[in-house]
Amino acid sequence: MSGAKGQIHDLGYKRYVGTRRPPSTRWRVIARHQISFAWKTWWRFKAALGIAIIATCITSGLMLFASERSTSVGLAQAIVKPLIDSALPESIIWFCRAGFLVSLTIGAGVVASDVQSGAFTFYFARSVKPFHYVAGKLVGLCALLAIIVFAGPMVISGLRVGIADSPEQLIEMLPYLGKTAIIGAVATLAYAAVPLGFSALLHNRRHALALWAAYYLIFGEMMHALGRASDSSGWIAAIDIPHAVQALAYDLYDIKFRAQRDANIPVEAAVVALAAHVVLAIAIVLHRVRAAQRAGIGGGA
Amino acid sequence: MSVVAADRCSKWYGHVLGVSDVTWNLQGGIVGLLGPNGAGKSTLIKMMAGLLRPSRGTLSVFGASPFADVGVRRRIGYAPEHESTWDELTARELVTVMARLAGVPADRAPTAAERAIAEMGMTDAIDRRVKGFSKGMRQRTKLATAIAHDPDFLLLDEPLTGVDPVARVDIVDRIKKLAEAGKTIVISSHVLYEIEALTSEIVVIYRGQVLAEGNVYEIRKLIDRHPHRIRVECDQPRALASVLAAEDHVARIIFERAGVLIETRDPDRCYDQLAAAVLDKGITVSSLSSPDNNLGAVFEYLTGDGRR
Repeated sequence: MSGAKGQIHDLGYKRYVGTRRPPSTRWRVIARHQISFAWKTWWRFKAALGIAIIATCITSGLMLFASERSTSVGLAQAIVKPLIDSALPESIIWFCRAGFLVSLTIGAGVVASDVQSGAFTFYFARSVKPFHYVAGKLVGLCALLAIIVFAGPMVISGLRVGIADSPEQLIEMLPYLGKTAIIGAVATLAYAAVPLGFSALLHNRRHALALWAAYYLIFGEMMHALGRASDSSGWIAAIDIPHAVQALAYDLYDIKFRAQRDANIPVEAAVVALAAHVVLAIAIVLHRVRAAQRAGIGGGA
Repeated sequence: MSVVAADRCSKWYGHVLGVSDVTWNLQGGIVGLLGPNGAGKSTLIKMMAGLLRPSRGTLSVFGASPFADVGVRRRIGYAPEHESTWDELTARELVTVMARLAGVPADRAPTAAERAIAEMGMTDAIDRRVKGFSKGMRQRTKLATAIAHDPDFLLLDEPLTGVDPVARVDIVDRIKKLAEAGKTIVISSHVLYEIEALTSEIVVIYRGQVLAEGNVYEIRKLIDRHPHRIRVECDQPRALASVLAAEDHVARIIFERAGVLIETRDPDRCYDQLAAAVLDKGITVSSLSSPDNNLGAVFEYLTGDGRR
């Protein structure tokens, strides 16, 4: 491990000569570290990436090889569309599931595991402010989630535009890309920020993961069921994140329903619910990290 | 300008007192922060590192508040007591990230990390994961993370805890080398001989308060109400004791297996009389030592005072 005892005397101490980056750039280091750390093992990110790739391939395959087959979107209550047009809106929920998987393996444990492991001391003993930390973690998570819930749908919508029958149809289909970008960006932000907020609520990684999973799988599903049963016109159901994202997708891809669906979520409700989730989550994580930093939490043995 | 200037600095954790009313100026060199577990050493170190804000009073490092001023933290290198951080990274990756977090540009950070790892004698393990490291290797890696950005002021919280004796000697040697390079180092420990191997400048902290600071020998002189102890290993302990027992400066004589332990309030006179007695009675002395020159004795006296 160590060399001869005299080695260090021969080596001497060499001072660092060079510039230093200003503290305002620390978020980039934290974001980059977040990404490289996620990439380290198979189970942390690559498994979800595999699911997203499979979802992309299956959806693309359906569009290419079963394009004329008709399907009905949304429990047979939507206007029947050929698979070439309905495959992408339907696949959004698959990408959401892959995004949820990433939130379980990384997102919902980020702050809690840093507190638990004492990494806070490493960050805040250096020229890092709580804002830099939160921004870095959020950007890092967004970059990872974008590979899952943004890139996949964008590839599919690019394919949809690419296989247009004529140049006129191609031009007509171009807004499809923008719509997909909006859905992908919203889903990315939701699946990055909300789990991050949960990770800051508790100082134990496992507890934070359990709380997020319970909120997403149980509470969200309960709200969706309650929305179906009540006369709230889908506003309560919009609390369920995956259904809110899908409602946004249905609206943007112009999937019209024949009748009032059970728990048919209006696009306004979906947008408000997702925005509220994201804003609240970022506010929570900022507040909790500032409080933890002030209290010196994470420095204990 | 002082490296550290603390003025009536206190820190509470709710109702629990961490550090109380500490006034302290540190100019440079290696200073040992001594105290038993829970004395407030880590709290004081965290305040100097900018991790904690004083509840009352002020604490500045290089003239700025390390908690409020992120800029001054670039000049500080902190090796915390705990070590369970990002075990899946290699030593190179870990130290590189830490250097970057401290402001070293991306293109220079790998070189800075390699240099810091080499300084700590870890080049052979540079591309191994921290997960598989021994305690000593983890301590070295932690020290490398603290020095990678070339700070002027190093805060080392219990850096020798759990390290085997051979590695301890090596790490002590490397810390001394950093001090020789002009760095100011505060090193905490509750193991006295660890500090003794590094420096004679100490700050003794107990129950959140500074009990003493300065050179260990000067501190010893200040404790004049405590008798100075002289251990004499000789062939005629009873003869020696009979000569010294009548002297008013001798507080107590304890017979030990191979000699006597004399407690005196006037060490100079006692040493003179010891020499005279040895010559007069023809006593053969095999060993003469003073346990009070050991840091442990000073610490024992001072914390003993604190407990009373």
